Amino acid sequence: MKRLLHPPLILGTIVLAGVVVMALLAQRLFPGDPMDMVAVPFTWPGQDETVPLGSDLMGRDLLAGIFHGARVSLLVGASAATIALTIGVTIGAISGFYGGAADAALGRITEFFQTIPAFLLAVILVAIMRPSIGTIILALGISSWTGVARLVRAEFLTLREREFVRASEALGASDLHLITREILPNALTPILASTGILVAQAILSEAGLSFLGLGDPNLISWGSMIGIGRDALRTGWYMSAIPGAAIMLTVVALNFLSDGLHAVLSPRTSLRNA
Amino acid sequence: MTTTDIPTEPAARHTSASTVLRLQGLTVDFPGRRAVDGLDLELKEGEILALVGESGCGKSTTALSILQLLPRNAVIGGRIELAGRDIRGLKPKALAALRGRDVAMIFQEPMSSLNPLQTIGDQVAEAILLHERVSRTEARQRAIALLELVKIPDAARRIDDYPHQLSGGQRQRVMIAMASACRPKLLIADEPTTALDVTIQAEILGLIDGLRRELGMAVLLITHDLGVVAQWAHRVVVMHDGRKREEVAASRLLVHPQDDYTQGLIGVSLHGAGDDLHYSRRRLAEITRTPDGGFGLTRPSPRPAPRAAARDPRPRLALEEVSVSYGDRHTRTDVVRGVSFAVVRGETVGLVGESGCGKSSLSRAILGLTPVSAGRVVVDGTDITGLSRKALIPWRRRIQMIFQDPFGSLNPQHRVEDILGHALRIHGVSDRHERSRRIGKILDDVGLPRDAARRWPHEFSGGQRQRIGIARALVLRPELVICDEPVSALDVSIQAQILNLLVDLRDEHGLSYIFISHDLAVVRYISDRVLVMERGRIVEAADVERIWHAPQHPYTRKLLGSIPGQHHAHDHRSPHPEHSPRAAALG
Repeated sequence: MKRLLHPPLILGTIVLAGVVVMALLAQRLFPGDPMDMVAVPFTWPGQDETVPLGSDLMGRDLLAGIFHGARVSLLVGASAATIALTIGVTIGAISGFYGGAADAALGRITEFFQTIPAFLLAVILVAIMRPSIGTIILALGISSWTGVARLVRAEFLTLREREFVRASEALGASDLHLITREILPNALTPILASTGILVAQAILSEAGLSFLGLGDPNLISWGSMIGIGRDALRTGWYMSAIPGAAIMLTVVALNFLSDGLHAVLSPRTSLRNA
Repeated sequence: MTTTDIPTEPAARHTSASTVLRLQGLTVDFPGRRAVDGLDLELKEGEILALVGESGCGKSTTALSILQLLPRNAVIGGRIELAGRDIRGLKPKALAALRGRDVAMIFQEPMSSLNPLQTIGDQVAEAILLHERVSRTEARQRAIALLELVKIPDAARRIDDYPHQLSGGQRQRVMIAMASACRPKLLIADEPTTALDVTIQAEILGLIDGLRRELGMAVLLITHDLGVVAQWAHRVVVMHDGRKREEVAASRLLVHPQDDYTQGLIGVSLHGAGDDLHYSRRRLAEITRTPDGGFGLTRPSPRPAPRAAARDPRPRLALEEVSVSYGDRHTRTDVVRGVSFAVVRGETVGLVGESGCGKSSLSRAILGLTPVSAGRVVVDGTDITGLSRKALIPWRRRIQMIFQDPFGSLNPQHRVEDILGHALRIHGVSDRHERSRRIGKILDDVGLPRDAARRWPHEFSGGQRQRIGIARALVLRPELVICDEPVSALDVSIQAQILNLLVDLRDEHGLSYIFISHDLAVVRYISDRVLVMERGRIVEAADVERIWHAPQHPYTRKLLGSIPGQHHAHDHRSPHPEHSPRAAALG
């Protein structure tokens, strides 16, 4: 598979794999609560070898925070993206496949969600439901499915008219078969490619919520670390910069992955009838 | 490789004319593949040279290499001489100046080669303004003149129309107007009529020929249709596998082909053949490759006379005053209006008509994919109109369909065994061994190897994929099969194989066919009875011989009159005129 040697794809995969490993090893390398005070506050990176990345203004180990924060970020990113995909694919598939009244009704619902700024909706939902990791995931999932729905709908509209779908229909296949076995596998490439962006968006939004103090108060996340570091931005900028870099690297890696997948999976323009 | 001498007759006529295009040892290489291999050809002023061959033979690549419009990974070698100047490897700017002014091109698909957001007048004027310093008003005046030249009715008014307001044939006329805007020396027409209906095809080719005469252009006509070649070209170059197989005067192509591949190509084609070319009298010849790399023709023995006794007079399918309409009460359009006919066991009914006549809607209605707005569809004596989807399933087994596009009708994500097995599963064959036994059997029947079951659609060629489509239709042992243009997307040599296969399978399985096609030669070969459809109605229905020899309806006569290549036998020189005085004045 020579085509898999796509530089951004490889780079994205490596960085993301690193983040996953960090999340998996967090409990083993840093047992105990990362919220505990373990060092002198305001220890700069490199000052004290017990806390290589320094400590924040409450004396918490930043390295432990980064590792434990990776767990939250990945969990929120993956779960919220799953919810968004489930809603988006279902609504998009039904709209595109059936068209007509179903499409019109679902189109209205999609537009309704599109007109509300996604992040604002997430803030409101979390504020109403009280912040916890579950409610954050739910809020982010509910507020970010519209793009997927529109993408899937467009794919279904064109694939619906293809001859192989008609052929299957002429054999007497059920709608469920047509949707899940004939059309969806052919729409998978763009959906897969957009998933990376979806995860990246969820990670960013979670960081945003945590920064605003709407994160899960019992868990440390990259966003909440920046939120805490904000108070000491002038005296200890590293407290915000280190978790910020972690977020940036992860999001860029996901974007690379998404781009790479798209480039590798899209059928190449073939030179038939040359 | 045989190359006959350049025929004397047209060459003599053009001795005074200058050479417009000369290709010397043209090669085109794509990574890992040579598409054109040492092609020589010469084209003189006012001459039509046809480049013929099957898909993948390098004819379109040759055309694109002249304008150097090939993808970047293509490497062109040899000499491309335009009016004595080698234009290979010119700088992009010099090439851009050349394109459209000295060499113009018409493409196959008139639907997609015009910009939908600009009026046709602007697009024609743009072609002038790119190369000449004239004012906008003058360009517009000339655009009107050009649209009149290509016979767009009421050109002065239609100049502000958008492409979607024009029919397919009219769009191709606009393309031709754009191509001839700067009076190019060379016009390259790449399958200019393949996407058009047969009656329009003749008009477009006539138009190109007329412009050639008036403007003194040379025309490089790329086509796969031997009928078109025989009727419109002066000389023919036959290509295969990137090489020239034969160069011959068009008038001699069908009569005295020298090369074995050309002979094969003509042998398998249905054009220009005699009355006995009917499935009941003989099989079609097929091209074979001989061990020494040459080509041969199988000439199978004539078929035994059809067993008339096997016919059961009770209809398998009967349509009674069937209408199909789309849209709601306000936007309602009737695409099929009151069609009635019946198909009996072992019969092939041909359905002929131009695009948009309602053929496809009719076939969808028979299959129950589109609701019938009036009338009844009766299968084996049972009215199936208005049955629920579930109640339709047992009837679906009896009526199956073969689709046109061998690339679009198979799901690329499924293996062949899944495609065929899915059909069996829907119809209650739940035992896995039984399914694989029947899949194996049907693969044998359609002439595919058993290991095809484990492979993916993209691993097969167009002809093989069409065999898979046929297998999918037949694996359920249907009684009636609707063939919707089953060979239109295939090369002639493959077309002959598939037609032979369809006839064999019909006899073996006792099938009836409804054979939909716009290609009259194919319909004539395979049908017992022919229905001619125009604007949603059946205007004539008769035995195949009656339709051909004594057509009653004017539309049938018009259709038959526009088959390309039928005039060559008695009057092959008629479309090969000299330069007209007007051309001299213009040129």
